[in-house]
Formats: sequence, structure tokens, C-alpha cells
Amino acid sequence: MSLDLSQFHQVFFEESQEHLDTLENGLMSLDIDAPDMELLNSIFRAAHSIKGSSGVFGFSALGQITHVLENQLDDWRKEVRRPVTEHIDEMLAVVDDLRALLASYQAGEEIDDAWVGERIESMEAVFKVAAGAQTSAAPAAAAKEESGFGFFDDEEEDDTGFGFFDESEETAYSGNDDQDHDHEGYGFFAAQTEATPEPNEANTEAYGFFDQTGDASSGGAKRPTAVASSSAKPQTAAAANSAANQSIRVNVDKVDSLINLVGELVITQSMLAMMGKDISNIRQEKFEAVVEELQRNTREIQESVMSIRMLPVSFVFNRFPRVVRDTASKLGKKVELVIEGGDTEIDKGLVEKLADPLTHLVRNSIDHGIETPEKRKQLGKPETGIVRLSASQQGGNIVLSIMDDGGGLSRQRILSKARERGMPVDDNMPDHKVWQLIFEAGFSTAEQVTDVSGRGVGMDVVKKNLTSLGGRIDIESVQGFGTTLKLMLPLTLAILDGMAVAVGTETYIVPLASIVESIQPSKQEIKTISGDELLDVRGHYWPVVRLHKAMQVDTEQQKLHQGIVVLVESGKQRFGILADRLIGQQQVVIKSIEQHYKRIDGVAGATIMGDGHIALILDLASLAKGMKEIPAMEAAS
Amino acid sequence: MTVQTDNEVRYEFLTFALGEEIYGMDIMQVKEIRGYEAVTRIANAPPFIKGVINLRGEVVPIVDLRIKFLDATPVYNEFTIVIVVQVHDRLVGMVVDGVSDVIGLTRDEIKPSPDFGVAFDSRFLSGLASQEEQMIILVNIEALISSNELGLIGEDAAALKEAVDSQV
Repeated sequence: MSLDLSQFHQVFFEESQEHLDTLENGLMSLDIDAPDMELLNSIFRAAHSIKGSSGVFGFSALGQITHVLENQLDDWRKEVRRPVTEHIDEMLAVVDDLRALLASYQAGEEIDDAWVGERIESMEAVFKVAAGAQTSAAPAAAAKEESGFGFFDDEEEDDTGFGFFDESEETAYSGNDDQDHDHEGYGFFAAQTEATPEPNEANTEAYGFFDQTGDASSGGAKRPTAVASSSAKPQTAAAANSAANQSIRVNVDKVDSLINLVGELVITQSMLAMMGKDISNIRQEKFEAVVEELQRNTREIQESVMSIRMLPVSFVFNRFPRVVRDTASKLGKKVELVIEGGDTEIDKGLVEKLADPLTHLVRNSIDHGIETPEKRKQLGKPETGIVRLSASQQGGNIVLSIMDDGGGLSRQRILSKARERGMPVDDNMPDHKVWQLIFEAGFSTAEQVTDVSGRGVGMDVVKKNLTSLGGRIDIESVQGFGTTLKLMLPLTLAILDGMAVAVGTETYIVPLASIVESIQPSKQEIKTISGDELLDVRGHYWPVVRLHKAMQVDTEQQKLHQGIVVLVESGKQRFGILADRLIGQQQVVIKSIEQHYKRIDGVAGATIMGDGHIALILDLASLAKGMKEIPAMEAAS
Repeated sequence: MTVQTDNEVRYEFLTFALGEEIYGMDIMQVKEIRGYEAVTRIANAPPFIKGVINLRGEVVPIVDLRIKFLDATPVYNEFTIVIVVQVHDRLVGMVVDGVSDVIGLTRDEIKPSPDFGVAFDSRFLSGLASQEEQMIILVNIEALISSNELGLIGEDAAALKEAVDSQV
């Protein structure tokens, strides 16, 4: 069998995607006045890696364009020229084009060679214009050419960036580029390589495989890890890099199937525990002890398997420096982006779905929130506005917030807009209710429509997307001081906190986040409107969905006062769900029904209970739709 | 048993009973055979869809073919059999009265089914065959599962349904 390169294509696409990210982030953080050599090197390496491997796979357009980029970067790196803003802008545009090209290759589309030619010309034009007489770039690039295509090669003296699957050593190495102990860069743990000042000891440590070796040779010095944490910046950076690269790529399907299997293991384990209760002799105690041991182990396995799916939120955040830069320059504003808590971990499924809503919110903050530099000056604020993007974990939730120090939301304007649209509002509405109005479809308070936003499409979609992820969004705003949008999301899409309720012989799960309270209504609390029963709970009227009716289950308890009513809030709708009894609160693993069956009305998914049975998870929004009509939600606010 | 000549391809079928009748399905689509267990009911489903079961972590619908095709009021006991079939990525459990055998048939032994006159919808038949005086009704499982009629897939998906190849 001949070597089929296509099997590596996926890896190439992923790698190139990452290199482009490195390139983009590097360019964004490059300080034009004092370029950081290490950063320049890493930008260069990223470009070089793309060029090298695209050559190997025959993606020539990608290679050609990157080649021009690389030449320019090489000049910067060698200090033949100095980076200028104009060039960085062009490079960022090139990065976008490269992404598009990569997508075309990935989709197997034809590449327009004429366009590639033009693009290269336009790039060269831009780079030459500002470069003036500097022409030394050409020979340098030519010399570079031969060494550029190594596949698994990381022993190059100069071009350290070509390893295909491994960057850790190179990163460590390049960090020491200008120092005379280059050889230390090949240690297994980058953190240890330069921990000790004496060259001799450093050497022994650099090649050590285990912590202990280092300890022994340096005669009871501090543990290398401790040293590393106190060492200077380049070293820690290298250490962080090498740690980040201690990873492998795994297909998500494999992880999902692992999660599935572990879920099964947990169920089997609890079945075993139940059976253990029937053993009625001297063995019972021993058996229970063993089952307990098993239980602990399976829980730990489950936790660590779940954690495989978790990714740091920085995967989403990293795109924002670019978004902010582009948006701000388009609008002529000065904006500084502050990112906090990027290492907070979140489910991979969520990471992908968060990107769009967050981009929308950040752009909104810049467009509607941050004032123009002139206006800020007038107001006595610094010219540069701040957008703060932060993530943190709070219990089973992740909280993302987008904060700006702009003008804040205008209560008056929102209220008058709402009146124009014929929405029921009054001047005494509390702030948080006013702010929620901007999530209405088609609502926009922008005085003029800009390129970026203001067309009134968006906030409703953002809210819908977040709600579908099981999240919610809060706004805090103080006029003149800024706006904070807070998104609360579940840590993972795979697990849900639910309340199990029983109806007849069936069990259903109500998402805990939507539950307001559960009550056993008294007869006085039950009112009727033309025969339809409503619950009057402390001045609010709640329509009731009878679960046994909605789900066609036989049950004897059909009267409101016989069962228990779970009051829920879903989107704008509030209603009660009548069930026979509550079973209890528990975390459930969400399973798809639609994989093997069609969508079921009123059901969001299924889960497997401890006894191996399936329980359906209620979809409150579609359950509410099943009701004829929901009478006025509230008597008075 | 039929004798197999060198150049004849034999297709293997799992035969199963629905009432008095013997049916056969392509063995390659059978994932496993298991006993009937309690199902979780689904609201607004036709009577032949009994509900869903947990098949090692997957939520799999259970169709009682006896209700669907014989209009019978079936009994469920420890001998009731569920054949779990897999078509592409979809898993479906089929409740039948019993599983009998695995037989091999050559193309010549499979006769086309009459267009009408049988209760079993001819769209879901891929042919008839006989084995020792017994007629075996060969079921096109793929057509059955992806049909709108069984109600296993949503209407959107049904609209996208590919043209169904007969298995034989």
C-alpha cells in the first residue's frame, strides 16, 4: 500500500489552525516600539510551520502566501526591518485569508490561482511601500528556503519551529536562544533546565528524567518545581508551554463513548449495591464494603473522564483581542480589552456554542457602551475605554461577564422605545426589568445603525442561544459608568441538575434551574377561569400543566390538591406542573432521544436512572406550548 | 436444505415468528437478540411503539411488530424476544414472538412478493422464500425503519429519506 497523505490532512488542518491562532495572537500582542524577540520568533515559527507542512501536502496556495508573510517576519526577526502598524494590519488580513484558504482546502474546493497571485502581489506591494530601500530580505529568504520543509525535524539550529507533533522542546530552546547554554534546552522538563545558577548543576538537572535526580545532584537544593515557580519570566513561560503541550489529540467521539461507558458502570455499580442489600448473612458486611470501594472508584473514574471534555475558556476568549481591535478601529474608538479567568474550564460543547453570542455582546459593548475618545475626554474619563471579559466558576455554574466602562444603558431611551413598539411598560418598573426589554426581538436603542450593530437583530438571538444552553443572562448598568452583562451557564451540557418527579409508574426530570418552588396546593389556592384551574400563590396566578395528561400516564391523583405542583419559570412563561410526588433532586446525565427516535413533544432528552430505567427530561418551553393558552401571568408586579 | 453451488452467493437471514407466520431479515442488520424488559413509555406515540429502553447507555425505541402487522393484543412474558436491529446509525428494538433460525438463501431462491393481496405492506418486503414447505417473508428492515409510517423518525428526516435499496 502506498502512503496515503490524506490520512494526515485532518491533523494538518488542526495544526495549521493552531499556528494561525498563534500567528494572530502574536501579531496582536507585538509591541511595535520594542518588539520582543521571543515573540517574533514564535510568530515566525508559526508561519514557517504552516508553509513547511502545506508544502508537504501540496496545498501550494497556502504555502505561497505564507511564504511572503514569512519573509517579512524573518526580516523583523533578524532586525533587518522594524515592524510597523501598517504591516501588522496587512498581516492580520493575510491571516484571515489564510483561514479562508484553509477552509477551502478542507472542504475540497478549487483554489482560484489568479486570486492567490493577486493577493501575493498586493501583499508584496504593502510590505515594500513602507520598507523603502530595504531589499536585503530576498537573499535571506532564499537561504531559508532549503531548511523549511522538515516534517519531524527539530534539530535545526536556527529554524526551530518545524516539528509537526511536538513543540515543547523547541519552545524551551528558543527561550534560551541568546544565552550561551543552548544545550540545556533539551531537558525533559523545561522548568528545571535553568533553575540553578551553576552551569554544572544545571546540566545534570537538564537531563534528569525525574525530580529526584536533580535533587540528589544539587545536594539537597530546593525541589525543582519550587525553584521554577520563582524563576524569571522566560523560564516560567517555557515551563508553561511545555506543560500545555503534554497533551494528545483525541476524537470527541471516543471521549463521548468513554463517558457513556462510565455512566453504565455507575449504573451497574448501583445495581450491585441494591442487590447487596438482599444478602442476608455474614457476607453482607463484606459485600457492602467492597461495593463501597467500587463506588468510590467509579465516581473518581467518572469525574476524571468528564474532565477530559473540559477546555479552558481561553479557547473562546483568545479571539477577542482581534475582535476588539477590529471593532474599535472601525468605530474610531479606543478600547483596551482585559481578559480574566481564561483558565476556567468549561465543557467543549459549550465552548463552541459560546463564541457567537459572546462576540455579539463584546461588539455591542464597544459600539453602544464605550463612548468616542472625545466624548470620554469631555466626561473626564480616560480616552481609552475598558472592556473586561472574565470567567469564573461558581458551584455548578460558570459565570462569564462582559463589563464596559462606557455610558451605560439609558433607562429613558429603552422605555420610550418600548412604548413606541406598544410594549406594556411603566415608569416605575425596576431597573432589571427595564434592561430585560433589550432582549425583545427587534429591539434596538441605537440612534443610528452602524456597521457593527444597531439593527435590532441580536440580543434576542443571543438570549435564545444562551437559554438553549441552559444558561441565563443578567444585566447591571449604571448610567455614565458602564454596563455589565453576566452569563450564568452550566459547567457542562452533558449533566443536568434535575428534580425527579413521579407520575403513576413513570419518572420525569424537571430541570432544577427552572424550578421556583414546589407546593402542595390547598383548596383555597385553586381558582378557576371558565373551568380552567389556576393556582393563586401569594398573589401570582399560575396555570397548571397536568403531567399525567401531557404525558398520557395513568394516575389516580388527578386533582390539583392531591398531588404536588412544581412551579417553574421557563423563558417568559411561568406555570405549575402537577405530579404525584417528588422523588428527589439529582444530577442526571443527558442522553439524546433523537439519535434513534424522533423528537418528542415536551421532552428535551432522556436519562438513565440508578435502576437502569430511562426517565424523560421535560422540555418546559414546549410543554408550555402544549397548553391552550396561558392566562395573564401575574396579577400585579 | 438447499445445496450451494460454487458461484452462487448466499444471503443469510434471521428468521423470526409473528403469530403463525415466519419472517426473515438480513442477519447483517441484527445487532443483538434480547429478552423483553420494561420500557419507559412515550407520550403521543402510536400503540405499536412501546417506549424506549436503555441499551448500554443508548436510548433505543421498541416497536412491537405484532401490534403493527398483526393487530394482535400481544402478551409479554419471559419468552418475548426483542431483536435489536441497526440500520446505519439507528438502533431499533423489534418485539417478535420468537426467533427461529439463521438460513442461507441464494438469489434464485428469493421470489418477488405479489404487489397486493398480503396484509404486510409490500414496500417493506424484499421477497418471499420457502424452506421445507414453510413460506418465509423477507422484510426490508431499512425501508421499514426509515418509513414515515412507523413514526420512528421526524418528518424532516423522513423527507430527506434516501431512496431505499432492497437488501437482496
